[in-house]
Amino acid sequence: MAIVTPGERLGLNGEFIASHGTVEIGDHIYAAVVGTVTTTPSESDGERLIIQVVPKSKRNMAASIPEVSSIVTGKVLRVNPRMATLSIMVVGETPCADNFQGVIRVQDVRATERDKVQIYNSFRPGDIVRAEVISLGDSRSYYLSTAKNELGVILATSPAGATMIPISWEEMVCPKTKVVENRKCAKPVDA
Amino acid sequence: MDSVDRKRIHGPDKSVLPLPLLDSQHESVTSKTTLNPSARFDGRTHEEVRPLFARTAMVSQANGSAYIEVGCIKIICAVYGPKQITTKSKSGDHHSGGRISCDVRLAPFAGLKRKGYMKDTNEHSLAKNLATALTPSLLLAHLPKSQIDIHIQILQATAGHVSASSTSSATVLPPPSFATNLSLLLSPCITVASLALADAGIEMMDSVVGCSVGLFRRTDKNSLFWMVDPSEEERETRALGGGVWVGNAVVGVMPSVGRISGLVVDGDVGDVGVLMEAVNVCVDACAKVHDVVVKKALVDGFHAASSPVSGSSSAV
Amino acid sequence: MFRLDPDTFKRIHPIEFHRRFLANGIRPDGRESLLSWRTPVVHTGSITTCNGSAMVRVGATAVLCGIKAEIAVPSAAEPTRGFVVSNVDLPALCSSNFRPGAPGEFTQSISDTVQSVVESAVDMDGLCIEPDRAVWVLYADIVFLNYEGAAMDAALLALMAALRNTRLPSKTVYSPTDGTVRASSDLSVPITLKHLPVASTFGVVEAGGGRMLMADPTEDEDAIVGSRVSVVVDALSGDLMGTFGGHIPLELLEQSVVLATQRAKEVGQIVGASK
Repeated sequence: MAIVTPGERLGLNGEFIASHGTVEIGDHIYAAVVGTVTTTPSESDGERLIIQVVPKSKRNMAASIPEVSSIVTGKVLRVNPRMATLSIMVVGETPCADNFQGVIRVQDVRATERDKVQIYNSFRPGDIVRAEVISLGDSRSYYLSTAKNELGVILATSPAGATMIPISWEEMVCPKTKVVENRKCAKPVDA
Repeated sequence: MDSVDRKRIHGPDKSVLPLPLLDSQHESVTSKTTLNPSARFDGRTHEEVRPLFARTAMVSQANGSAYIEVGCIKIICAVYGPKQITTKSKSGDHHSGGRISCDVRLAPFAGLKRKGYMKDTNEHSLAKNLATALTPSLLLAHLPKSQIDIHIQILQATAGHVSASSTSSATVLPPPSFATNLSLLLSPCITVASLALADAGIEMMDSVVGCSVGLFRRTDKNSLFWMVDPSEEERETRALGGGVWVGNAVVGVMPSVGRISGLVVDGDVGDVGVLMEAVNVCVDACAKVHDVVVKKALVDGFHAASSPVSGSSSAV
Repeated sequence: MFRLDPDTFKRIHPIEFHRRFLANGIRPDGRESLLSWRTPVVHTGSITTCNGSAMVRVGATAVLCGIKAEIAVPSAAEPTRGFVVSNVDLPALCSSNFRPGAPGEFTQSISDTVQSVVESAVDMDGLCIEPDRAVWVLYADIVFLNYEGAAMDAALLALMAALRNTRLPSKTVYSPTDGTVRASSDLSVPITLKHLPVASTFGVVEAGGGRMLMADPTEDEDAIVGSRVSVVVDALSGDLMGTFGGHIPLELLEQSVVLATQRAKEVGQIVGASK
């Protein structure tokens, strides 16, 4: 398959709809990254094909930074009654080049009974959490939400050092000491 | 001497390079050049660039990287990011797009005279000009709140000692007292940084290729002429080709889309017509470099993307 | 429960990631035992602005050492003793763990160790040009271009290979009238090395209820390494030249010295084959 490099002309924007890895300048569409060209039919526009340039390796996907509605995975750094602060390490399936900071505010922890949420009963420092980006947030942090079943804590370590097992959507148990702790657990995605 | 740097190991307070031993069979620089007044040292034509070697994916720790050799110049570049902007910016502008930060460092042994670790103004201005030339090519609007760090280490900046074995091939040494002229390093820095950015998968309109041109004044008549991609020796040896060095221009070109992303002119050029002519020749040279070297390096890097550096056999 | 691909897992839970390799006695980079080493590759003489240079790769780690010879006045106490000044630089280019600016503690400690080792390896009196007036000072700058562990091992190896590659002018003339030194333009005289120190770094890890050695840990493997020790052995004589680093149980120290002696011989041959 042919590999294109940035600046290579791919076609006219009358023929294609420019998508990821491409850039429109004037009437033309150019490649914006190194990769292979793929075209897919568009659902809304029967005439034109969607054109994109797909980079090969994960290494080349460095441009994957958190966007609104991306699913991210990160570690809880600290909690306070208003929010939990996360270090975002993975966007989608791609580890980030560097950690980004995000916060889950108390009203974004779950979808129902929001007024009863207590951050400390949902997350603790060190937990690994899967969350969705709801806004680019302020100058420091992205705003994240776990208000979906499949979002929340996916990995937590108990004070005894064991990996805890979820027993309901809001409780986890330590297999060593049998102590039950509260968490906003994520529902495992069916494998 | 940097007086307070206690974090490095220092030798004696003062040290100097030895002076040359004056022996008759060693030709002086000027006698060498006056022998063939119209030619360049390495036999290139005035439009020709030096042989160029480039490859990507040299630094496995980085998100993207590249290495370039132009004549005897050797430069390595690593790109880290996009990462979260750490320094506080003025309120509100964090949504407007990403930004780049460039850092250019000369290895202590890169020049003829050893350089200390403190960054000097030359390195700062190189970094600034580099950022200027790269920014127009990047689609930074796609990277809100993010920063891309570009680190460049210049490993060798000039031709070296004449070693015992290569005296016949006559590398003419400029006297070691000359400070290394960093403006001639800007063009390979542009090329290598753009390659590293492309290797990191940063979206861009086109890769930027740098090219420099030296402007000379004929000694007999008062007119200007130019030479593409002058080497350090050509710049320092001012009697070159029967001309006097008056200045140089460095152009950053986006060859595929046909735009100039940066232009730095140094010196007392005077005749703008000649300068524009020279810049146009640079643009053509960049297109050639892009087709022959840059594209190949990127495509090779793409094929090798999954296997980072191991036992690379390149010159370094 | 949750499916995570290896890269993601390594990123979010590095300790568990490496523990699982450790439990099986293998390494993430493909090495088959805790005590296997990455074989160094040495290239010399690529930087022609130097009197000597060497590029060393240990796995993905790449380090370049350039040596420049200048002239200085010797100290009054030791009028014939030359100088070797070695600095290790781990720039922000080589790993995201290092920040631009002044060297950190880690870099400083490696510089210091390398300096103390090299001072005993080079014949300093051989660097004398005119007693009490002029000696050579060799500036050795060791720059990492890619950092994936083995800082000490690679830095010392690059330095020793570059010193072996170093050539000084064959003829030097000291002028008593103005105190200057003139030197011929050829570079043909090698410097005398009394030793060929080779550093071997071990990590101490906890596995199977006890502590054991892990040879040549990578940067990532530092996540599970409790402490590190670098054992420096002279490849020429097989003598121990020093151990540097953190705490290590005595019986492991003994084992590490035995292993480092073996390895110094092998690495010494690789360096010896370079010019």
